[in-house]
Amino acid sequence: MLFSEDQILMDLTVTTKEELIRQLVLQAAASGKVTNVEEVIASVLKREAMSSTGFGKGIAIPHGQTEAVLEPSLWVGKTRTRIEWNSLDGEPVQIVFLILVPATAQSEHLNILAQLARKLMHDEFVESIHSTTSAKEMMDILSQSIQ
Amino acid sequence: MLTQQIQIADVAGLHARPATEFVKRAQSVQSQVTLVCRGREANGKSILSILALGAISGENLTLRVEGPDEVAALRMLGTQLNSLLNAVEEA
Repeated sequence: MLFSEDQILMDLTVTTKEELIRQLVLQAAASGKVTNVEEVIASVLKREAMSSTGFGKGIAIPHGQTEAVLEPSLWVGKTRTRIEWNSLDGEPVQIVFLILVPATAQSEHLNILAQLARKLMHDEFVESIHSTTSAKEMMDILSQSIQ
Repeated sequence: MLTQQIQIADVAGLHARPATEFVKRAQSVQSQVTLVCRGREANGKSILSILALGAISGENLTLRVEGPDEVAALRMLGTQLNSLLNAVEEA
């Protein structure tokens, strides 16, 4: 429903969470799913400042909810090097799943989050996404998981 | 073993922020902490396990605590969870 290969950015050279979120939101804007890049970035960073979404295992799941998002969507970014995220387990992050939902959305965000969490509980899944090198490969793994 | 029923009043459901707060507190007790929703069990000390519940507004949670400090743990975690899920929060 909400996932295609152009929603995955690999080998990003960013070094901060702000830069990474910006890259993903710019991609969302280029796909026509976001009307105001700065507003969406601000929403994600505001949420992140309340409580880190670095949930461990080198993975973060930031999210933003604002009127500038037109439809629920998931964006994946994998960085070349690990970046600091103030994670629960203290480890830096290399893979980010950015969930964007419109202001009016109720349970969509929670549903996407739950589907991701169910997969991320399995170390084999986590290892497989950490070892991917192409968007195609990442897409193949995720499309079997996220519906 | 002690249990407490909690209904999720927060319109956003058991989302990441309250779940993170809860896990941090649950990790501070010795007892085993479990959250149950729709028959699905989550380890209360694991953020991914709790988020995997996908518990939405209006659903019932069972908080189950078992171990040497279960009385104090249930009181603390039950109070915290009630407060986290009933508070009127910004989305």
